[in-house]
Parts: sequence; structure tokens; C-alpha cells
Amino acid sequence: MILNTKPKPSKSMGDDQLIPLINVVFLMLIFFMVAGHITRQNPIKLDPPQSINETHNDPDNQVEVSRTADGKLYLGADPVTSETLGEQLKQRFEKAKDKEHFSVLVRVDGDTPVEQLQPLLMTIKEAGLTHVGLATLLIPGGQS
Amino acid sequence: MLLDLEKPRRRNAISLTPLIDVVFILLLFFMLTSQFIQQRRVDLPVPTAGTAEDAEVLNIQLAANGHTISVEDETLDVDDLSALKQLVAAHGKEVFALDVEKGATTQAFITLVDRLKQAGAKQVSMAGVLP
Repeated sequence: MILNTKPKPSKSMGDDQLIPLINVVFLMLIFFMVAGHITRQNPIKLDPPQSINETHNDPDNQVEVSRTADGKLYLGADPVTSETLGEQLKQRFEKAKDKEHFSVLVRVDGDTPVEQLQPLLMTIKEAGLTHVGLATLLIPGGQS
Repeated sequence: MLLDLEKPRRRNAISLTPLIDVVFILLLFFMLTSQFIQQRRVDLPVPTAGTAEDAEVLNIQLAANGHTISVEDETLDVDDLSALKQLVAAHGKEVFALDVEKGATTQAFITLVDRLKQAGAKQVSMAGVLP
């Protein structure tokens, strides 16, 4: 019996086998770079209502008010009470650079009854802020 | 004369392994940080003083189940787009004030706003809170 003890002809053969793998990984990399977008994630977990509405947010010139399912209020990421919310909103408005387009984005769960949302909207209105929006998630294709 | 030229040496190919390492790390980074959820906003109009008196207001009641609305003693289904179009055509320039019954969810409210806008309504707002 003859044993073939010769070393394999070329070391680069191993690398050649990897090229299809690299092709696929590069394609996946490009997909995630192009299709996804990197944003700061909001630490308050909510499930906003779905809508076909297409209006984009203006993160530079808005303040977010979140109301979780258990009734806690947050201004941005800081917890607030309904009594101090109006005062703090006024302070944010005073600091805003573009007062004309300064807006409040209200984030609530889709399951929140509207009568619990109304007092929050009243507070914002009493603070004198007129641009109010409700955060929604886009339904792909425009049908629910 | 016989020249003893060395054969040109084949350059060693660059090893691909470090490249793959880096690409995998990039891939992991983008997979973990990308978001595919599309956040949008629905503007709730707060008319400035004066407009509320100028425009006529049509009150629409949204039932607690979120599927039926009643307008001037008439009951309509939220998903019945042709009926909503007739409604909007009949009350073209009025402000649609949505009066929501206790228990209806925000999702139902937003769906109704969407449907009315699809039917061609220009001004939709929440009764009571936003005039």
C-alpha cells in the first residue's frame, strides 16, 4: 500500500473555498447597512397605534411625552407627574431654538382608552403648546 | 551565456481570514443596531383662536367597540369607505370633531382618523380636547 504523504499542493486552496462565504456575508452586510437605519432607541417600551399616515417625525425640534400602560408619564426619558408636566413643557419650549415648529409628540399604547389620553392632551394644551402629534407605526402597504 | 535567473516567485496571497473576521463583526453590528420599524406621527390639529367659530363642526360619535360611528342619527361602519366618502362629500368644508365613547382605544381612534382622511376629509380633530 502506498501512502500519499505529500503535502497538499497549495495552502491558498483553503482560502479559495471561503470566497462564496465572503460574498454572501458582504451581501448581508450591505443589506443591513442600506435597509436598516440606526437610531437611538427609546428606553420606554410602548406599542403605538398603527396607521397609514406617512408624516415623518422631526426629532430635532420636538419633545416626547410618553404614557405607559400603567399610567406613568415620561418627558423624554425622565419620569414626570401630571402636575409638573405642564411647567416642564413650558421650560422646554422656552429653550427651543425654532419656536415656530416646536412640537410635542405623544406616545401612548394603541390599547390605551381615549379617555385616559384626553387629560394628557388637555395638560399639553393648557401649557400653551399648539403643535401636538400622536406617535404611530406605519402599516406597510397602507392596509390594516 | 547561461543566466541563472530565478523563477519569479508567486506572491503569497493575503490571507482572507482577518478580513472575514472584520466583516463578520461589521455584520453583527449592523444586524443588532438597525431598526426596521417605521415611526410616524399623526398631527392632532389645535386650531388657533378664531377658526373654531368660523368653521362649522360636524360631530361624529365613535362607539366603544371602535367599529361603528354615528353621525346625525345615522350609523355607519368604520370600514365602509364608500359611505364615509358620501359623508365627507355632503359635509365638505366642516370640521369633523370625533367624540369618542368611553372604552374606545387609541388604535380605534387613529383608524377612524385614517379612514376619514382616506375618504377626503381635511380637518379632523378630537372633540372636547381639541376644538
